[in-house]
Amino acid sequence: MFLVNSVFIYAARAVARRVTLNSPVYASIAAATALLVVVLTLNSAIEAQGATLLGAAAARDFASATRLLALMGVFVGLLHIQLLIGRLMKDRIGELRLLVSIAATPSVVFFVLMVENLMHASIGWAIGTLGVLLVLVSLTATMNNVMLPTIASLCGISFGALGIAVFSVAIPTIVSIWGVSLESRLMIDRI
Amino acid sequence: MLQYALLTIYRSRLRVLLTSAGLGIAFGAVVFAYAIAAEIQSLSGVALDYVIRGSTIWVAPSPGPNVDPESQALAQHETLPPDIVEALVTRSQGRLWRLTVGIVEVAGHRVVLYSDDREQRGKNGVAISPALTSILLRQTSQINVGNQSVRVDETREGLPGFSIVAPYQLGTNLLQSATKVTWLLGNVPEPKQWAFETRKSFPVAVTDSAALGEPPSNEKTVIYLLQGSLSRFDPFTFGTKFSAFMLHTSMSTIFGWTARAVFLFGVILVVTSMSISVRERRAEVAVFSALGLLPEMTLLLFIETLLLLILVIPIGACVGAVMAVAYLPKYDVGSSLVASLALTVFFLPVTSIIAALWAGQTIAGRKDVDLIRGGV
Repeated sequence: MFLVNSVFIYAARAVARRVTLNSPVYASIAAATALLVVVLTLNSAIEAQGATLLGAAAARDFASATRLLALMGVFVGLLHIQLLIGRLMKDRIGELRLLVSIAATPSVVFFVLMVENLMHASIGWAIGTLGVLLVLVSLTATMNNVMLPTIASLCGISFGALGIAVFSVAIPTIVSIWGVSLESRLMIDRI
Repeated sequence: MLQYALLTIYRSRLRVLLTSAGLGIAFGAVVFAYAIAAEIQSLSGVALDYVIRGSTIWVAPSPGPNVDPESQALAQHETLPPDIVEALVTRSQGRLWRLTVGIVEVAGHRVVLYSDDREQRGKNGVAISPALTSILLRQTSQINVGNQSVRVDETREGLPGFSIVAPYQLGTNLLQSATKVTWLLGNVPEPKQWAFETRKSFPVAVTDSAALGEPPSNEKTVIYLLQGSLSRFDPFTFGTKFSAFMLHTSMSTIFGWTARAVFLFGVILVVTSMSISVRERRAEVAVFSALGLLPEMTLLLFIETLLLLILVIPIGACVGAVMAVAYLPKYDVGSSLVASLALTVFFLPVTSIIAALWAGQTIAGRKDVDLIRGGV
């Protein structure tokens, strides 16, 4: 329990210390999340009401087009967030080495980084999702509830986006900690 | 400078490759999103035009009808004054009218659509002017009621406010204003003609409102009177028309804004990518700073961004264009190429300049000593 508390405090401090410095990362995660939420919401809207306006066949075409667009958004988001988080990890390579050298086990370092990166992902996700949510709610008000059926599915879409953000930070974290621990072991072997 | 930039790209080729892949697909998504928006607007415009082609559209500014938000019906329409009901029955040759009413918000306007379900086709409906206490049915000499053109002068006195009724026609996608208001109803001495003007689509303003006695309130109301077609060969009921009308305005707006949002997200991804890469190269920036070459560093960043985007964006544009042609039913190769080219011409310089300026500003905001310490 003490270890868990310590890890959370360490991670929270590390995140708080670098909020300004990491703002491009948050902006990027927010943009990727917002892109995903917007496109999936649009897909939901088309599937729900497109047939009335465009006819069933055209609506099906548009629904598959928006699904493809969402897939592109997922891919871009995954790639971009991984790159950014990977760069963040690279920035802190010295700190990671130091942690390993003072006898923190790789699993503890991994835990610290996971918590920290989850915080990054959550901040970016919250900014992106809230922004889109506000826009969609205002659109709904303006458009006389035309988007209302899709607003209902927004929660699912938003949490799906969070899942993707978390997934995309997990990979570089694992790669980084694996690299660092391997490097540390090699260094120890050399000694 | 160019050689240095190329060398930098070559040195970190794996990272550049991954970044390029991300940016290329992001730009492909931008092109694809614009294609979807254009296509859906075009298709829905055609559908809308087909649905309400030739309909007469009536516009009535403030104070607007009194509509019950829950039932979406004109309030108190059940309690029309008996004399008006009687007049209606008489003038519609014995048939009682059933009004179908719905209300939507479009472009900040309260829009009321209603249709008279007369068992005939090809006749104009009537304009309804709301009263504070009851609905008054107002007609002028030019409005057809049933099969007759009638004059109703006796009800003009005692109207609660001003109600202007003007015919509008639906153009390709927009409301086209009639040049003059044909009928002016209200407690003014004589009916006059007033010019209306429309902006891009729905907002309608009275140009000479002072002449009405007092300016109308800011809350304008637009009434679109759609002809309810009762032909058995016409598959569109009033409900269909109503839905199509609402969806057209909503979907066009939403898809248009989505395309813009995707464009913005693309710019953000490029800018953040550059911003982070500056942080990665702090040692290099420190050396440039120590040598007094910070302006050259900004130029270098611009060249690097430009090189990267020149390599990536055409590929992304091709991906987007191919997907648009493959997935969208009526999107042809010509339109796809033109849209891709236009977006590339706009996206490339905008993102390059913003990204370089952003990165340059990040560097310029630090003191030399911080840069040399590695604190970019």
